[in-house]
Amino acid sequence: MKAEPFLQLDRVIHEKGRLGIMSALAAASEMPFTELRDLLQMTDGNLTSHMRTLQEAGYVAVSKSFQNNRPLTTLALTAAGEKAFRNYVALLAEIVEITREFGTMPTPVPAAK
Amino acid sequence: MSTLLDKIALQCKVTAVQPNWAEENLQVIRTLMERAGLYRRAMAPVMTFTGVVGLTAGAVGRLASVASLAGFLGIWLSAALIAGGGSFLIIRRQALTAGEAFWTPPTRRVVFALLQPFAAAALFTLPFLCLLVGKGGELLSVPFAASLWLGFYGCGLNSAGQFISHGVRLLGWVFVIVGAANLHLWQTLTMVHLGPLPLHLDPHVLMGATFGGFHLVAGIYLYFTEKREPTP
Repeated sequence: MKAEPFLQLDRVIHEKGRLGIMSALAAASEMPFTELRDLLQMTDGNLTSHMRTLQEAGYVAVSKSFQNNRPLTTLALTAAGEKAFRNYVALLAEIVEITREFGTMPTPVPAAK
Repeated sequence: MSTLLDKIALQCKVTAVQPNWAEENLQVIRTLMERAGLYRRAMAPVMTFTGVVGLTAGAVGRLASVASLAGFLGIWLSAALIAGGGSFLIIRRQALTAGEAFWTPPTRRVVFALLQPFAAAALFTLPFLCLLVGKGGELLSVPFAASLWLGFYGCGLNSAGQFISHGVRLLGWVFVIVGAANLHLWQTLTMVHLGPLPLHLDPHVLMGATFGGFHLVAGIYLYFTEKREPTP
């Protein structure tokens, strides 16, 4: 049984909060910080923390501007982020297939010692 | 090597606790992607305002006994402009209050979804009305325009509703059905009816009750049920 899909899962995206951010940004080309916060029902601090992690991984681009004299922070997926998210979803789909095929999750076996 | 074992251990723990986690993750992604593409401005004030404008226009048309095609077009195009302009200002104010951009991708999707049915209503109405008026069909053209507009407006609501809510899609269907039913009823009854049109066949009453009444009812319903977005 294959263990590879599990090992390839991107741990940066795999965290629940960051997965939510990546999913939302994958659907909307860009999203204001406040809208994303409300959609995911996160606190400002929590979202900022996840945003930084994703930014450091190069998955999310953050732009700051002013609208009607008020600061507007906007998030968008980078090309690398889009690719990583697509890969992550493909891996999940593969895992679901494996689960269906074998009835239960296969026991992962390390490939090499 | 230890990293690899860590990863495997993590997966084993995860799968032991939750066998369908991958499927559930995919479901979460799907749901979030759908929600992220939705239009989230509060619709209650927009619907209520549109409803009040519609009812006022219907009352003005009925009380002033405006029966000509030009008068009907004048009243209802003005009502459409006021409703559209007012809705724009309400939505813009919501965006400003929330400190967000007005012209967001979901807003664009809603506007473009409305654009084609509205343009179709205008394009289909003009030549057909000219044809009817040319044949001396002033009496025929006004109720026809009302039904046609209701139908196309319903199509617009249904399209835009794909990015708003199930309720808006449903309202679109109601407009289409009422528009078509009215045309059928009007055509059937006027074949055998002599004298002034009964109240329910007056195009102003029809437009007021549907464009005004339906929106107002929807607005009141949304006022009590719509989830209020927290504002900073």
